[in-house]
Amino acid sequence: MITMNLKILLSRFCFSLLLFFVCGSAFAQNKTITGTVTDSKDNQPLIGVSVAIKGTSTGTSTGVDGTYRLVVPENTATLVFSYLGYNNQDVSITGRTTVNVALEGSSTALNEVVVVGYGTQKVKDATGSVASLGEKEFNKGVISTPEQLLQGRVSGVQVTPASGEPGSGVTINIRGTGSIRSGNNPLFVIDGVPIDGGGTSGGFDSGAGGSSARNPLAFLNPSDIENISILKDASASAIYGSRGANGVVLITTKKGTSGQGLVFGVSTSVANTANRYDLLNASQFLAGIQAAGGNPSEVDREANTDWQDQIFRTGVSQNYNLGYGGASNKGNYRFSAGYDKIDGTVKNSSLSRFTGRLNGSRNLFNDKVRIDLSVTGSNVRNDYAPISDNAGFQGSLIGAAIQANPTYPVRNTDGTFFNPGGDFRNPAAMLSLIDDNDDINRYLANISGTWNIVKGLAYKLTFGYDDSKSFRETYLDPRLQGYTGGANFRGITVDQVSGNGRAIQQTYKLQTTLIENTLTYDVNVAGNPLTALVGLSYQDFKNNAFFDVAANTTTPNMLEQDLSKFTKRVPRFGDSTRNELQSYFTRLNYNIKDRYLITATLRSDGSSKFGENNKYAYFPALAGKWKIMNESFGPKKLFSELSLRLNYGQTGNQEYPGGAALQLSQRQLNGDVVILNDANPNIKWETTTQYGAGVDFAILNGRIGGTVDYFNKSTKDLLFLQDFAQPTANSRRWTNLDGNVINKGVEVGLNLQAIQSPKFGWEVLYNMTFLDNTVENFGNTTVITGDINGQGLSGAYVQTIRNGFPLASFNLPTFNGYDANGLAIYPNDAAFGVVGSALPTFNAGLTNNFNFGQWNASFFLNASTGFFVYNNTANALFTKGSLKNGRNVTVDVSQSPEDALNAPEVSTRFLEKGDFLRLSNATIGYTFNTANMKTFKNLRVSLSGQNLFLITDYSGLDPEVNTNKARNSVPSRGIDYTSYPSARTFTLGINAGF
Amino acid sequence: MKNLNFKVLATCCSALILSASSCTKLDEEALGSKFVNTSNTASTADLGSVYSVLNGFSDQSNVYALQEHSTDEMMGPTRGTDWGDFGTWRKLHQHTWDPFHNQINSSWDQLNTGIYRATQVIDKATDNQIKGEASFLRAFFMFQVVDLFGQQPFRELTDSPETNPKVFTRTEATDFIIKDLEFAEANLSAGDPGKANKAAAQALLAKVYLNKAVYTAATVGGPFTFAKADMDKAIEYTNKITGKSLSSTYFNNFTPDNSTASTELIFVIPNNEGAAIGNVQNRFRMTLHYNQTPGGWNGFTTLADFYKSFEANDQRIGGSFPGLTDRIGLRSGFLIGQQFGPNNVALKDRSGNPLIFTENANLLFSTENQGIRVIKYIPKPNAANDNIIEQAGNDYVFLRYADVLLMKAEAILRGGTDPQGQTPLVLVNNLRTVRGATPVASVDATSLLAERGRELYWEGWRRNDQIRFGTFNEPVDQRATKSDPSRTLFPIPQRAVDTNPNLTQNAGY
Repeated sequence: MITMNLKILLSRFCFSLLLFFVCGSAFAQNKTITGTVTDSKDNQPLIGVSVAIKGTSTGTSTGVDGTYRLVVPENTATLVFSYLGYNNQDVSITGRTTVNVALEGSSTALNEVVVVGYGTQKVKDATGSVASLGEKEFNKGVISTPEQLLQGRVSGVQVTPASGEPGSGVTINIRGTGSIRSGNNPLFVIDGVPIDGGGTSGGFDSGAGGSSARNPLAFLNPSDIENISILKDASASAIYGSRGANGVVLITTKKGTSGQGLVFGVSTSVANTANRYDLLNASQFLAGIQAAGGNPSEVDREANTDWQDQIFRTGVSQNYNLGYGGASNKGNYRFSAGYDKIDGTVKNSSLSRFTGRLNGSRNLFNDKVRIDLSVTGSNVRNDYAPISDNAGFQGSLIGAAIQANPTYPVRNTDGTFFNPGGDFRNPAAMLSLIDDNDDINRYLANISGTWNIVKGLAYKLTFGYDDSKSFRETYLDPRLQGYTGGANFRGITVDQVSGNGRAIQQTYKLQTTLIENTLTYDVNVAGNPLTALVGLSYQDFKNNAFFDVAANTTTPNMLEQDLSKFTKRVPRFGDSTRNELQSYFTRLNYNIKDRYLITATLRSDGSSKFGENNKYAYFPALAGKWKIMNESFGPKKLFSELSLRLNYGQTGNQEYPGGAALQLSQRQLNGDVVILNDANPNIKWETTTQYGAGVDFAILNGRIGGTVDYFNKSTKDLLFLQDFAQPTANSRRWTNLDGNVINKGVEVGLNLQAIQSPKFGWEVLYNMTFLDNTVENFGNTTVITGDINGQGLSGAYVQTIRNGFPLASFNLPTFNGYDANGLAIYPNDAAFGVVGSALPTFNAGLTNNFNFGQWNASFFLNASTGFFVYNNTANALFTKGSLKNGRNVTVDVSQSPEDALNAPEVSTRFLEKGDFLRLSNATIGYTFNTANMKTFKNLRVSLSGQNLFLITDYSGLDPEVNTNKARNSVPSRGIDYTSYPSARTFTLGINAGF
Repeated sequence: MKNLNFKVLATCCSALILSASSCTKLDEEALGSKFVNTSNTASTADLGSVYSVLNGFSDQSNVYALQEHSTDEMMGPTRGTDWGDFGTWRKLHQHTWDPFHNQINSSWDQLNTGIYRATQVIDKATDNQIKGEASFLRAFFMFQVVDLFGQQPFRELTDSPETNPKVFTRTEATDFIIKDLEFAEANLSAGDPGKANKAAAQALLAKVYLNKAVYTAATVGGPFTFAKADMDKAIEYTNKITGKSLSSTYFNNFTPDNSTASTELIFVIPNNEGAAIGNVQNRFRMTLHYNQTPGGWNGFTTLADFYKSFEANDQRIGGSFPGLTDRIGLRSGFLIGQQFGPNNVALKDRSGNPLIFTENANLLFSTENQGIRVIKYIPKPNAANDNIIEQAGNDYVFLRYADVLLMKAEAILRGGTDPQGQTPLVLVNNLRTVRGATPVASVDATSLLAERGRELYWEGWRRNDQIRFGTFNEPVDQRATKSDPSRTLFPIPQRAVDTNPNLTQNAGY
């Protein structure tokens, strides 16, 4: 019986094999079908389109001229045409021998049209380096902020989360880090409106510790995003001249399309800490204390508590999305609503988000006028665990849990929290007695009218409005132990938290108004198409923040009551700023014979942040593209696409706090007037000059394609809070520092259609970036940053900026093991030297997409090498002396030859290589055949995993970490200090269309 | 026709573009609590920002640390994981600092910021009271710059921000200080020690004249020739200070209610309980162990030799203090041996061993129990809860009457003439008697320096005194060899030299 089945199976298999090999060879009673496949928009031939008999694997693909020839059995009814980035088409061939097909680009196409500043461009006509990601390429799973969608997916773009916390800040560097202060993030433009990065709480030490700013883009619903376009070089970003120096990220939200109807998506996720610290348990700990010279019986509190279990959890998250849209030749509309609840892997930390969006457009007056409208409203609520960037030796939640004596019980027998005494903190009490949450409402609206005055000439007026209000409440219960030290709020002092309690309310308001006018003119000059754009943009930013602080209550659980129940009130205080930007810009695109394409851009920008005579700056750019394939001598045998691009341009940066041109004073709450800054009336724009060259190519009928880009960026007139020759009102003031930050590198993007058949498809996408960062012409200036926290580490720092070295270089004495007494050996008199940088020199991402029938699967690996991470967590906590002092440590520390009296000075002992390879994302999905379903237009089920494995030698939890350890506003990189751990997440999702 | 249409439309469009965006001049605005101070005069509110610079002096680091850790009465031993702090404390005690030392940097910034803020007030003020207070404060900060760094850059209010500040030599700066103080002395009235006042100006003038030989010496580090005219001036100013007397209880100078309990205070940072500005908590937390009450940071100690310079019956050595020891087990003065907490519980250290402070400490490798701790400012326990220390109301003392009397004794000893006819021996023995110490038979430079140490320990004057008496470079515990005389001045911070070409680095750095 079994043999029988096997025989049948084998024969079937052999038959399939036979079929596979003979496909394309002649059968009896055959007919030959020929035709051309073109792009429905521009009628250009499409190369490498798969043409197959429906329901079989018999097929062929189109050649360089878009034609195909396929021999099919006489009775064949339908052919299927499929091509990446285009919608599949079934075509009936009954009674036909010539079948020409025009394929329609799918809305998520990678290689069709890219959104550039003030318009769109065909990829093949783009002169600049623009990367575009559609929904298909986005990272899947739990996505709390839009940057996570593209993490690792694009060459030249490095996305580094500050930590694993939901909604945490993200550092994005496009082609390296150009500035030596904060303000390195690119400009985000959502549906044409440049977004201000402020409006959220951060940096304000409420008593639970200072934390870095939240991600300002958390208000966007990731499932509303259709496309993210990244303008990497100056020629592309110069149209946003003023703020394009760090690149521009253009986010386009979904529009209604015809027949779209109702779509619904739901997913649920479970997340756990991907990695934990290998700490001593109670008996190991007591043995360790004994070995280090302590008295175990005195420190033993007789419990066996795993403090990591006390603060970490399995986070369960939900996401719901609803969209309804449609389109006609008169316009389109789309409504959407979304709800996310993302629970972090640390107790008490979560992000919930409601979003609503309406996108619409309508043609009027015989299509002479089009009105576009885009409105989104969101409510984001964050619950915060007490985790800070700069906690002292007692630690914020994670630091306190790592160092907590494992023999401590969580609670006393009477149910109250165990008080460890001294300055030790009970992490469970911290979770229970600190309540910290915020509520952010943000509205972003833009409306634009386009008037097609005559053929080729269009005028567009855009009005954008962004309004955000964030309210954060922090409550510290008087029963908290180990919170010693008062605080000073603008001249008014309040008592320590322990015994007194404290409540803080922070309100942040942000209003941005944008008015933009553009005039576009399409014309033929000497028989070649020329597009000219002129525009004028005005943007006004108003920021307002105020704070209410109350202290001193002995009554627990005061949060439900108002601040007036506290006996000490600090009068409300706050800050307001207003900045304006006014810009004039023009761009010419000229296409000579579809062989030579030229883009010239000039933007003049004025910012209120600069000195009287330096408010305006000009940012020019020029780029060209040579489409070699359109030359008569184009190497058509080898290549199906070959183009050369060259670009040069300047962009500006004004992302600093402003107010530096004037000497500002501030009245303190106690009446004193304090001079805030020393004026620099000459302060001016920071400028980045960039040039580059690129090649776009495709071979083997487009089955292998790619782009290679070289770039060289030089940033000068660095805006910097520099030492100012004393005596001065303040020791530093904002200046344009001499020196250049050079970023140069090579970016490679490759795509391979490994297997293209109707049954099985395998696509490989690969990107990599080689990056070199150097500071030049810096003279003898040495800038220090990278504050290190922990006991015995006051004043310690690890990073320097200095001529000839990369930014974020680690400057440390070399650690050379221990001597016979267990004391550290630092050769050369513990001399400091630059020993590496936190900036990776190589990044890569590899995507594999598979299709087999109705199944599809994808996995995405990314890697970074050539960088170092400073393990501040280990420096502060994982030493023998720390164990001797009654703190828990990792198992390997307890076994190290270090003596308890060895001072853990900063050194290369805590500097580690960060090189890693990560399986970031893996997804498997099944798309149901809905042809016979009445209810569903489409239905898909998917399972995704995020952060599935990590290969690294780094001893901390995750080398992709960036705790904010700035000193004097100089940002640090690559320092890990008791950071929120990264999560491993599994998501099950259903998407349905009705 | 079509062409015409186009022209009309294009014109309309251009007009629309121009009108739709109102052109802005991009003027920068100061909003909310910020403003551009265009006033031609200075008010007491502006003076507040000068006073606020004083708050930095009560921190355990910077100016205080420079003046104390480099001496024979304080050090900050590294205790395993604690107090390594980039070597900052060790370098101060071992005289191995360099122009990049973080506390040298911060002290320079802090003092010069105070000087510039004071200059702003002085140049704008029309009221002589305000001008006088600012003049005193500028002199107070500049005295420290002259004492620590030996040069003084100066920025006029009218200078453009791009001007490199001119630099006063040590002698020029000393004369500048005297002028400021003379103006303050002439225009301020005697009174509240919490503000710049006449007695404070007089006491500081006495100090400047007493140190003038150091500040005008041909070679840094001496030898110093004390001019009789300077000593006479010092005596003259000490004699002008009236209405002060020695407090019968030494520690009343440092209690939470010292503003009323002490009869010696001349210039202080006034702290009020719960509304403190320059808090003195650091003074006890910087030395106490974690497990003591109040919990400290287990830091600084005195040196065994310094402790041994006291007689047992000298009340300045401290002991049980009413309202403190009976409540939380903490004693005043020098802490040595087993320590106690509330309810007289014998305390343990963090690894469970008894908390016994030893006499000696190792600067590089101390255990958590090593070294004698010092409590000068008395913490105030909460009325109900032993474990809570109130936001201290102790005024922070810069100048007090005992210092004035000892300065007078020293000026006479160095050749000055007292119109009141007192002698160093009488002055010193009067003080010793009030403090409960045995009178001495004679007074010389060595015994006077020792007396100043016993009276003024941990008050921020020791480096100044040791330099003047020529013992600053001598070996002490944990600094086995004599240091170079160039160490009597700190280096100008490298970043200051880099930003002002008029500054020249001090010799020896």
